[in-house]
Amino acid sequence: MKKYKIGYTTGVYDMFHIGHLNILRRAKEQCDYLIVGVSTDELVKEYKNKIPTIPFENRIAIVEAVKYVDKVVPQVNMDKFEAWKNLKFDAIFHGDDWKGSNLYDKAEKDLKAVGVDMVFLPHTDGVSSTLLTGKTGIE
Amino acid sequence: MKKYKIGYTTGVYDMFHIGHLNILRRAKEQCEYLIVGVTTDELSFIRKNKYPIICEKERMAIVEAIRYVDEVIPQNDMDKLTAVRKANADAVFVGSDWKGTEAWNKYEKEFAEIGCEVVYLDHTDGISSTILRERLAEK
Repeated sequence: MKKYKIGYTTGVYDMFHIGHLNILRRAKEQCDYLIVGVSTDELVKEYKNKIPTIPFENRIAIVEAVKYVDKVVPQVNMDKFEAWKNLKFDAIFHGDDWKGSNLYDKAEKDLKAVGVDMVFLPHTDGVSSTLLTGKTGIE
Repeated sequence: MKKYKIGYTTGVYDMFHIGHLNILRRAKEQCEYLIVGVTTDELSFIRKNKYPIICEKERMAIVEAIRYVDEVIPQNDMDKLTAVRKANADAVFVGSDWKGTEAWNKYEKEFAEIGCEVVYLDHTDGISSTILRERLAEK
């Protein structure tokens, strides 16, 4: 029996790498059913002002093929509370590089009020889609 | 009941992309148990005179996390016949871009002698690790 029933995590998952995989594995360790929101190209353009290297259809197909993932959904906006209304998860997972960012302050409060835990997972150093290197991030 | 019992396929799987995923999915559609040989960093260097962007540990971890893959082994050399024997494979899957090449015509004959077929799978156009390297270089 895992700590949470339904877990939710989101990302762009551009050029899928070991950092993405570590987050998905650690999230699935803590929940029975893992839902992953994959940001659409439009959303990435809107808030990062750049277009992902890999188009949405391919990014979501790869995340869906990862064995820790039970369901994928497109992430069309940054409103996590809105996502909760549809998906009814009891935990939301984030890389701990987001910790303390005020982007989630309000969402965290709203989600807490409906019984959702925000769980921060260790971020894999030395690898990101922005900085793709050959350094090992494996455990 | 699928056509083959044990399938074997190999690749570098550098910067895992939709072309890799399509091959693995189509291979698994035709066999009960799919073994994937991931080319080591050393073998890549020997063959292509360059190292992959992503190190072998991470490349192996990502391939292993794909739900169509049952087992991952390192591919240290080009001796495919020994690998096929060891794996006890009755099918070897390879991209259709290799069909009709001298090397694979020879493999077809060698493998047939030990009861193994070569199955050519559709190649996904428009994506490759080389294309991704170029896109990264542009950024």
